[in-house]
Amino acid sequence: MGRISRYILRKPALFFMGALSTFLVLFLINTISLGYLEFSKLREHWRERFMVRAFFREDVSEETMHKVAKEIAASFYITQVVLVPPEEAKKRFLERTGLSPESVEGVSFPASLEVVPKYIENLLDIVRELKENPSFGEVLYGGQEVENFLRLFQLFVRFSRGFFLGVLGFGVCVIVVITAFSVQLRRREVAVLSLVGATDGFAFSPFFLEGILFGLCGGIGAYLCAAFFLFPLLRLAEEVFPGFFGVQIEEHLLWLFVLDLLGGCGMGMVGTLFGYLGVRQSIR
Amino acid sequence: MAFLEFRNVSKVYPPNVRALENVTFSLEKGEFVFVQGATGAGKTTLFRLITREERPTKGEIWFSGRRIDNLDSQLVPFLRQRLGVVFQDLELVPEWTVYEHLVAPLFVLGMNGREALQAAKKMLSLLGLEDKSFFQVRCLSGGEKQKLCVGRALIHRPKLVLADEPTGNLDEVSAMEVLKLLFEFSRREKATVVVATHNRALLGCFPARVIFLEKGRVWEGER
Ligand SMILES: Nc1ncnc2c1ncn2[C@@H]1O[C@H](COP(=O)(O)OP(=O)(O)O)[C@@H](O)[C@H]1O
Ligand SMILES: [Mg+2]
Repeated sequence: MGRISRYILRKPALFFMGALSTFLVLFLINTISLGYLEFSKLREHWRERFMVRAFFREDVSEETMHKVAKEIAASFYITQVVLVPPEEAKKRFLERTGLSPESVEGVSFPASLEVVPKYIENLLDIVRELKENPSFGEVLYGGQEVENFLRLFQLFVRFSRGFFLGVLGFGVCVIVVITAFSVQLRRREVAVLSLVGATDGFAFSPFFLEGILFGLCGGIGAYLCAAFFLFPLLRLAEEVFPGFFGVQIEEHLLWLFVLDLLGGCGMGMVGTLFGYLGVRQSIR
Repeated sequence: MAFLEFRNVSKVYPPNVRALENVTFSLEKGEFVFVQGATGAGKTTLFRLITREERPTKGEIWFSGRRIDNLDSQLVPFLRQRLGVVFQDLELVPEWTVYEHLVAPLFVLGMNGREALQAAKKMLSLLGLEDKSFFQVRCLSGGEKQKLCVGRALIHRPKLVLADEPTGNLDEVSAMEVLKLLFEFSRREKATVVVATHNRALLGCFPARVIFLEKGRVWEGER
């Protein structure tokens, strides 16, 4: 342990560089993970609004209606199917408009099916399928604007997935290169230890532990930053747009902590290992 | 069997530098030996073959009953732990202190901190560097570095010491001090000490066997 602390004190810049790069990457990962959680919440929130209503033809029997509803409910992409019989439709209409039952005498209220998609980006596909189904007459949903919105949404989903993987890959590369480089800068120490008979384990252990240490520092830093900056920010947003942001922060603190610690340690270890292997090749 | 033995060893550096040619000699336990040769004669190469920094192109090297020229690279650290080497280019870390250099071979051997501290103190007074023990090496003079290197080679009391131009950076008085240190170590520990030098004037100062090296070939003379 004495050896390690001396190493760090002697070249603190390298230690800070490692810790800082780990911190930045983990901070990014934290932000993106939280963003993803928010995003799934939003998706859930929106899909209630993007319900599809399919009206049955007049000639469809009640028995068939139940059968069709069951079939549709079995689909993977659909979370909720509600059959609205004519009486129910009439009742709702009267409630909404405040008219008396006598004034709608003779008007027919067709039965309909309320379909809620699991992922809103699948809404258009679901609409197409329902329209092809001969039991339905009319299929209603948001219309042209919703269609455009959904297309944008699909694009966003695809883009953000690629972006996340890109950031992750790039960040890990940066850390590995920086930590490997910091071991390379101390090539001489490894060379001298090797000349006085140190085994690889002996020569490498301080670097390895140092890697774990700065990984931990970076990880804890990123976690604290999330706990004291990102989460309050989300809470603030929740107050400003009530009901819109629904991530239960307390649920996620634990796994975020674990993710940050393991991520930091892992990146520190992998980086120093690469650095050491590079050094090992160049010494006698 | 001899303690250290070279059998028809040749070393050719790429592309075609013949550093050693058909070198054969053997050393016994407790011997104090000079290897004398002009610069470029192959003295450093000879030592590098023993420490396994290089491998011979041809021939066999035996140390303490084991063949070491084809030793598995996993075992090389354990070979080096049994040697004490004063490197020609010193091999010190500028940021490390004198003390850290001295305890490094001891820690490598697994000695605990308190024992290592005792041994280092003793060695520091032997070298006359007591007041420099927590100086970083970059603050030392050339001669002090050289002495430190000798101390590091002897501190773990190896049975074979290889000193490559240990007096190269020293004035005459310090040079004699260092040689005396090596000589006494050899007597006290019954260790084989090999001193490589280009300086013929040193040879007469100690009752020692001399191996001459010239353009990669050896011959012997006794004084
Ligand atoms: N790594 C190397 N590559 C090529 N040639 C080398 C290498 N090391 C030493 N030599 C050559 O081998 C010869 C012997 O060198 P060396 O053993 O260092 O001599 P000395 O230590 O006696 O001065 C010299 O001609 C030197 O140029
Ligand atoms: Mg030399």
